[in-house]
Amino acid sequence: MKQLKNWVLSFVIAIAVFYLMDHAMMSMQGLPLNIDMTPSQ
Amino acid sequence: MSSHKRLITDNSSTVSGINTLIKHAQDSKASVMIVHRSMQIVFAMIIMLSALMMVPELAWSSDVTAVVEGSSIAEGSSTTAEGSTTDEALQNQPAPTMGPRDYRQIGSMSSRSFVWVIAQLHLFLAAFVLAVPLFVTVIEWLGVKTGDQRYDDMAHEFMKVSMTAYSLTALFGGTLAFSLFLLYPTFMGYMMEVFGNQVMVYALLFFLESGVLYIYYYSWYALRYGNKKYIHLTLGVLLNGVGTTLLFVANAWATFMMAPSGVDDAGVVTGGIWDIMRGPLWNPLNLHRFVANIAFGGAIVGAYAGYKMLSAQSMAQRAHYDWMGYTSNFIAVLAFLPLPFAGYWLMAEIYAYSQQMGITAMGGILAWLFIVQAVLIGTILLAANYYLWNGMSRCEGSQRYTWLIKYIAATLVVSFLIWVTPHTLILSAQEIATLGGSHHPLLGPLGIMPAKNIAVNLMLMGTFLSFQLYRRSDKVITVPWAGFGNALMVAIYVIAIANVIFLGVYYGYFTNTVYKVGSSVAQVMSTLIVIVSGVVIDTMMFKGAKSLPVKWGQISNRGVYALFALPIAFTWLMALMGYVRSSVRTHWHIYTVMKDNSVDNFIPNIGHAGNMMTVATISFLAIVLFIFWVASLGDSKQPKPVKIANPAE
Repeated sequence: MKQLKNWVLSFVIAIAVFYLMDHAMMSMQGLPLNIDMTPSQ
Repeated sequence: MSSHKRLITDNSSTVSGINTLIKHAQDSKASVMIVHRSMQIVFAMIIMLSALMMVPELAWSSDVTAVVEGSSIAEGSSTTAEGSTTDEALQNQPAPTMGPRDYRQIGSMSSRSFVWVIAQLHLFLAAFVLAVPLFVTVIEWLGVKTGDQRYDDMAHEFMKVSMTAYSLTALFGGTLAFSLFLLYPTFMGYMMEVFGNQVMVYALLFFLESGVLYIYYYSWYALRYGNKKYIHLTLGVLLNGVGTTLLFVANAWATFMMAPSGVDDAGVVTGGIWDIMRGPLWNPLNLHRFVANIAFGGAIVGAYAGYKMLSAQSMAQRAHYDWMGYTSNFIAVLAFLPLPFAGYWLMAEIYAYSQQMGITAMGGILAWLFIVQAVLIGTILLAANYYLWNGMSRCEGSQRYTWLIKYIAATLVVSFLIWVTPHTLILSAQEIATLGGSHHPLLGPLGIMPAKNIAVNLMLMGTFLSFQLYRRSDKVITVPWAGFGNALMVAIYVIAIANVIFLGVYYGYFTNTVYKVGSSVAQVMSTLIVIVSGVVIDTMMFKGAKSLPVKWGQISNRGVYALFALPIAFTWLMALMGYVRSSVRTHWHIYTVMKDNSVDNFIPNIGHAGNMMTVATISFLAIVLFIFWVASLGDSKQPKPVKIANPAE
C-alpha cells in the first residue's frame, strides 16, 4: 500500500511540475498552452 | 620522587605544548579565515567583472564614450584644421571598398585556405589550454575538500599536458596574426581602426595569462599544503578569470564580423568600444565557446588517459589512468549536455539578427553540414555511453542496472537515425517523378526540426540516465525514503519523455509554426529538469549510502577506445561548426559593412569544405600526439650507462 502511495504521489508531483513548466514557458513567449487541438490565433 | 618531578615537568611541558598547538591552531584558523576572505574578494571581483561584461544594457558604456569624445574634443584644436584629433578622423572613415590590391597571396596558395587552417589550429589549441585550467582548479579544490591526494596528482598531470600545448597556441596565434596582416592588410587595418586600443588589452591579458599560468604550474609543489594551498587555488581562480576574459575579448572580433555593432551602415564608428564589442551575438558565442571548450578539453585529456592506460606497465598505473579517463569523460559529457541548448540560443540570436543569415545556415547550402553535425554528435553520445556501460563492469553492484542498457541503446540508435534524416534529398528529375515529389513520405516529417528536437532531447536524457546508473552502481542506498526517491525519479523520467514527445508531435505537426519554436523551449526545460532533479535527488539519497568496491583498471580495452573516439569527433565537430559560423557571412568580410572582393568571396562546395576541415582535424590530432609524447618524455629517464671492461685492455 505504501509503495502504491509512493508511485501515485510521485506521478502526481511530476505531472504537476511539467504541466506548470509547459504553461510558464509558453506564456513567457506570449503563447497559450492551447491543448484543445485548435490552431493558435 | 625524581620520577614524580619528571612526570610533573613532562606534564607541564605537555600542557604548554597543547597551549602552543591551540595557539598555532588559532593562528592557523585566523590565517585560513584571511585566505578565505581574500579568495572571496577575488571571486567577487571576477564575478563583478563577468557581470559587467555580460550585462548588455550597461549605462557606463555611454559614459566611457562621452569621456573619450570629450578628451578628443579637448585635444582636437591643436591637431587638425577641422578641430578633430587624428584618432577621431580615423574613426570617422567608412569601411574601405576592397579591390584586388587589398589582397595578397603566398605563391599560388589560396589565402583563404591558408588562414582557414592556421586559424582553426590556433582555435583548437586555444580552446584546449583555456579549458584545462577551468576543471583543473575544480579538481584541485576537490582534493583539498576530500583530503584525497589523488585529485591533486591528477590535476597536476592534466596541467602538465596543457603546458606543452600553451606554447604551441602562442606560436599558431602569432602565425595567424602575421598571416592576416600579410594577406588581408586593408581589412586588418580597418579592424584595428574599429577596435583600437582594445587589441592592446588583449595583449596585456595574454601577458597576464602567461605569467599566472607559469606561476600556477611551477608553484604546484611549493604551495601544496595548508594555507599555501589556498594561495595556489586563488592563483587558479585568477588564471581562469584572465583566460575567460581573454576568450571573451577575442570573441568580440568574430561576432563583430558576423553582426557589426557600434558602426553605421557605411562602417563609420559611431559608438565606443563597449558598443562595438557587445553585438547581438557576443554573449551567445561567449557561452557556447566557454562550455564547448570545457567539453573539448575534457575529451583531449581523456584520450591522454586512455593512451597512458593502454601503455601502462603496472596494475597500479592502469588503475590510476583508468580513473583519470573516467574523470575526463565525466567532464567532457557533463559540459556537453547543455551545449546543444547554448547552440540553440546562438542560432536563435542569428535568426533574430538576420533571418537571411539564419536561412543561409540552416536552409541553404550549409544546411547539409547540420546533418554531418548530427552524425558527429551522435558519435560523441554513443561513444560516451559505450564507455560508461563498459565502465560499469568495474563494480559488481552495476548488475542491478545492466538490464536497462539495451533500452537506452535502442533509444540512442533510433533517435540518432531520426536526427541524421535529411529533409530533402539531392535527386534527379526521374527520381523525383518516381518518388512523387521532392519529399519522401518518411523524410518529410522526420527531416524537420520538431522530430530532431525530440531525438536530441531523448538522447541527452538517455546519456544522463547512463551517468546516473553508473554513479549508483557502487552504492547501496540506505535512506528511509529510498522507495519514494526512486519512484519520483522514475516518474520524472517518464513524464519528461512523454512531455518532450507530446510537445514535439503536437505543436510541431498539428498547430501553427509559431508553436514549433515556442514549444522547443519547454522541451529543453524538460531535459534540464531531469538533469537537475537527478543530481539533487541522487545527492540526497547518497547520504549515508554503503559503498561497494570499485576495481579501477578492470575496464575492457574496447571501452578505453571510446576515449579516442571522443576527441576525434569533438575536433571534427568544432572544425565543422566553426566553418558554418564563419561562412554565414557569405560574400562579406564584415556582414553588410565590408564586402569581400577577393577571388575567394564565395561559399565553397561541401566537398572542398570537408577536405579543409579534415586537413585541420588531422593536423591537430598529429599535434596532440606530439603533445602527449612530450608530456610523457618528462617521466622517462635514461639509465646510467654501465662501462663494460674491454678485454683487450
